[in-house]
Amino acid sequence: MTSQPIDESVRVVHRRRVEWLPYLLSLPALLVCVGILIPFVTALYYSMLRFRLNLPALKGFIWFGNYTNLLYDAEFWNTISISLRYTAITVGVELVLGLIIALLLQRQTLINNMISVLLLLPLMTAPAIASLMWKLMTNPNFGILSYLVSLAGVSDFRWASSPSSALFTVVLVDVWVYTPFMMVLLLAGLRSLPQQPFEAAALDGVPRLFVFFRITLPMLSPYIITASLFRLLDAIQQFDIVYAMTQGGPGNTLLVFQVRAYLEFYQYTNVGKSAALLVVLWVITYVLSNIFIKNWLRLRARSHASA
Amino acid sequence: MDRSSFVERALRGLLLTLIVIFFLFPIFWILLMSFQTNEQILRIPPSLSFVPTLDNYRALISGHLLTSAGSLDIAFMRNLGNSCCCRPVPWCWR
Repeated sequence: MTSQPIDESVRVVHRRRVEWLPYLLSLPALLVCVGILIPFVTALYYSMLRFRLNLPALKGFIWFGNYTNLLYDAEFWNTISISLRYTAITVGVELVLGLIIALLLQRQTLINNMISVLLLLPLMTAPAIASLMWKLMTNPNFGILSYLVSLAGVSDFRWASSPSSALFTVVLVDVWVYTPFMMVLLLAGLRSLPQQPFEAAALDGVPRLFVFFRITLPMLSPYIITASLFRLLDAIQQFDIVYAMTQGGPGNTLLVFQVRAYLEFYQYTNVGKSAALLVVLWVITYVLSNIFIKNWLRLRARSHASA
Repeated sequence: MDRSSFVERALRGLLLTLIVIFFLFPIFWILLMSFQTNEQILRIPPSLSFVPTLDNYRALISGHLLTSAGSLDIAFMRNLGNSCCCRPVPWCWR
């Protein structure tokens, strides 16, 4: 009975202190959140407007008109197919190549460490600069690679300026720039794996292919998924390499999402369509990363449960 | 791994050499280009024989490149300054 008032006053003091402190502490996060949300909501709003800079009188709210227009646009489906193909090819090639290099460099010797440091050099060049370098080297007139290819007997290989080889050239540059990233992550993963399973397998005389597919790969899969996720999100939003190499390619062969949205805005001044394209890109990215993160969490839970 | 055969080690070495060439050749080639004059860069076919020149680096620092086709103004030092210290000082953007 007597303790009741004391208890209440304590609670009041407690509540008063709680009232503002959490808000103050989370204020930075709130500010960042608002800073992210304002451009995002603006883009969503623009994507529902008929908004052309050259026809300002027609500006008006049309709900999902831009999206339904996209559905009937053959160019849009072309963009989706190119973006997905580009992403699949680059991530696949980089994953396989990065894994091969990581396996080759797995043992910690002096020369292996030196090579792994040297291989990081492409990652340190800015992608736009790297594509300018490759543009110089693949120039059909004086480029060294064109010359080497012609020495090998392939005459008239046009690299980025022919529709049939433009995708190959851009993928080559992307692979050149980003494979070291894959390699570093996978190498760190490989070197941190516990040694016991491998020793046991060696004692039992298990064939090495079997060891690779049944021990190394499963244990490495969290690293593989993390590295691929990063590259996947980067590749589907690829802009700088494609734009610096070909500006969307001969014709429409390389119009990936961001390049197309950029051209839609700055060349055709169609803000609504550009925003709608980017919102579609956001949806694709969101779905892909959700799938990957779910898988990653499941894998991690499984490895923790078994450990 | 210590009992790996000679063939396997040779194969590993070969693969690593190819990989290192693929990743380092572009950087090496651009480095070479930076010591060449425009005429030497634009030669057909490209060749490795040239007398290295520091003109390009001198041009970056002084801001003027004199070529046979004419002179060129380069704002590299100002760009570098802007990149290093992105400060809103009037004499930085000029």
